[in-house]
Amino acid sequence: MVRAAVKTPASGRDYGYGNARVRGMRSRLLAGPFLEELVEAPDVARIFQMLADTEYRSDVETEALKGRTPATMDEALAVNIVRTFRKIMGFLNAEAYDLVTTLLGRWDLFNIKSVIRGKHVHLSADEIEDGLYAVGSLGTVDLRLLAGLPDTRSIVDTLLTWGSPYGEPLRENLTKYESDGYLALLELALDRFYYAWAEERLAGRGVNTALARGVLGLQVDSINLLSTFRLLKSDIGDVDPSSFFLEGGAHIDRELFLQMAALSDVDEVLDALKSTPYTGRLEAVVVRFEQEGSIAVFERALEDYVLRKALDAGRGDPLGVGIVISYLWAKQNEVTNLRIIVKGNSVGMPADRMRRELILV
Amino acid sequence: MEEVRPTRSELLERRSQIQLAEQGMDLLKQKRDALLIEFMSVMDETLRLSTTLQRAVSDAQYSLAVAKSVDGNVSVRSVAMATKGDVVVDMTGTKIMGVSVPVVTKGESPVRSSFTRGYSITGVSSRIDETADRFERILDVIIAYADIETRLKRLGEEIQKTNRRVNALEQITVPALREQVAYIRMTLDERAREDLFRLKKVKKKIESRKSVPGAA
Amino acid sequence: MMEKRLSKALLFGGVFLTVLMVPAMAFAQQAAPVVAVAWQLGAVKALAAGLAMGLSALAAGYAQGKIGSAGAGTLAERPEAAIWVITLQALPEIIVLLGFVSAILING
Repeated sequence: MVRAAVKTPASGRDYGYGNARVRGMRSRLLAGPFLEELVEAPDVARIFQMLADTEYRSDVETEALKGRTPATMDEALAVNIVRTFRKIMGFLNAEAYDLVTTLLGRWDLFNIKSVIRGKHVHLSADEIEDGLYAVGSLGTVDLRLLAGLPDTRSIVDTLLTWGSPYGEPLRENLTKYESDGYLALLELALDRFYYAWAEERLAGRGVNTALARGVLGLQVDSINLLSTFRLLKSDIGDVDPSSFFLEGGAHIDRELFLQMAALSDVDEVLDALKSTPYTGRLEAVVVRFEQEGSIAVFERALEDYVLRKALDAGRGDPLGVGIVISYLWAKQNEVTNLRIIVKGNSVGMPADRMRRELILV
Repeated sequence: MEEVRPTRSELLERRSQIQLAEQGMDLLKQKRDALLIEFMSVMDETLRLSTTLQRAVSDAQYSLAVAKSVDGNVSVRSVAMATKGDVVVDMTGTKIMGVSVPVVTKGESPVRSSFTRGYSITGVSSRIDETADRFERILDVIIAYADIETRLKRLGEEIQKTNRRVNALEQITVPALREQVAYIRMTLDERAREDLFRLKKVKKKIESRKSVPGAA
Repeated sequence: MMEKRLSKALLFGGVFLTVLMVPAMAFAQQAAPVVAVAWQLGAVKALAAGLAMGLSALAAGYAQGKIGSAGAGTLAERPEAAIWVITLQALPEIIVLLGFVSAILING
């Protein structure tokens, strides 16, 4: 559950224990050369074998009992990251817990959305569980409970009862959703609420808060940028583009967003971005974008940028929240890399193609 | 063959039947050729569409693989839950050279924009978004392909049917009729020869009576 | 919590020191008879020795507290680093040792 933002007592700022543990865990992240070996692995069984000598052993071995297939490996990785994130949440001090859960709130959003989407198409609780990723403040047990509820209204009521901040925006839009069944509006309301809420929570002073705010701002900017690119591609009729703008960006404010949303092609958007740090990153991949016509190229470049910034956060104060943030992002990236390797291996993707998708740091 | 009465009128009858059969055969052959020409053009279209379809499918599969690996199975599954949708397909019929073929047309294009797919774009990665887009495009091609493929199949069946008819006429009906004609003619000839012989015999007898007058 | 306790201790020590030291200084400057100063000097020495020992012990405690919590974290994740953790944990003892030596020197 998300705790109310209260002034953290001094004892809640002891980073010695938590950071020492996180550093210990960081030392067990997989090294670049090892990933390189995995890319060259002949089949998934070999990847299973190689990962059995790493941090992933227990999860990989458990899942291997069901067969050494790409699907079970995917499952093992998901279980591993959930377990790791929950473990970290368990030993963080109060301040770091607040900052980290605020940052990981997008996973709470993801899970709440999954549950509501599941209800939207009348899936059973078991089926919904396949779409949950309990790395945020809502744990597996909470989410399973939500998935088991009969309808969206009871989910919202339960969230409100728990004092979860996400209950409020849902409640406000629930009646409208129930009458027109338009899911996107509900989701958009949730997204807009979360980023405004997170920005407010991270608005305080202090080095650690500022660090978290920086990372959040980059994420918001990425989402806003991708929204602009999507707006370029499709005609949204008379919908106001500013309804897709999320507050709390580091470099892209509402004005710039609206200005970009009114543009008509990617080059103009890149021009408008001249004063932000994103322009270099995006221009580097613009050729690939033109070849593939896919804005996923930009998304990956932005993810790469945000990841590197988040990792930089870990290079500062050894007794600050930066260490934790950088680890969480590094871990997330590692799992993503492993997934790419496993999936790529199973569909016979050439190694070069795989390397292009990987983000190695 | 046995019921054939070897008479002259029958012969005429058979002859006109042969003529009719040959005419029909020619007509059927022409129809077959016309159908074949139509078939070929539909075939080209089908081939073109099937390559398009194959490419669309492999594109979509690839981007699904990327989405699944980068965003994870879980994210893809979650987004999939939000994108419920119906595909409206209209089916009517038309006739090509007398062959009735179904016409399949899409009611509303199954390709939706990122904004109408049911989820909010602010929370969904563009990889998943584009994967959805590609699969919807496949649906588009599949509907067109369904239309052209049933047309191809119907035309093919019709060509086969016509071919069988032509063959039946050419290999069985016409030869049978010709055989009957030959039989009738042979029988008639035989009969004519018998008559001739009989006449000759009678004539001889009459002449021999005339040469012995006392006998008459 | 640790910092608060430490600052209280420091404050207390500081007040104590001024109250006792100022009259002692005053006496010394007046060049009072040596006999009269002797017991006061002994008292100040004892006090100084006590402070040297006590403060350094507190400081060591503070340092060890921090090292201990980080060490526990390290041990949880990397048990193989136990030797290092114990070594680092023991290092602040030197501060106490130095305090102890100073105390002896003051009285010696």
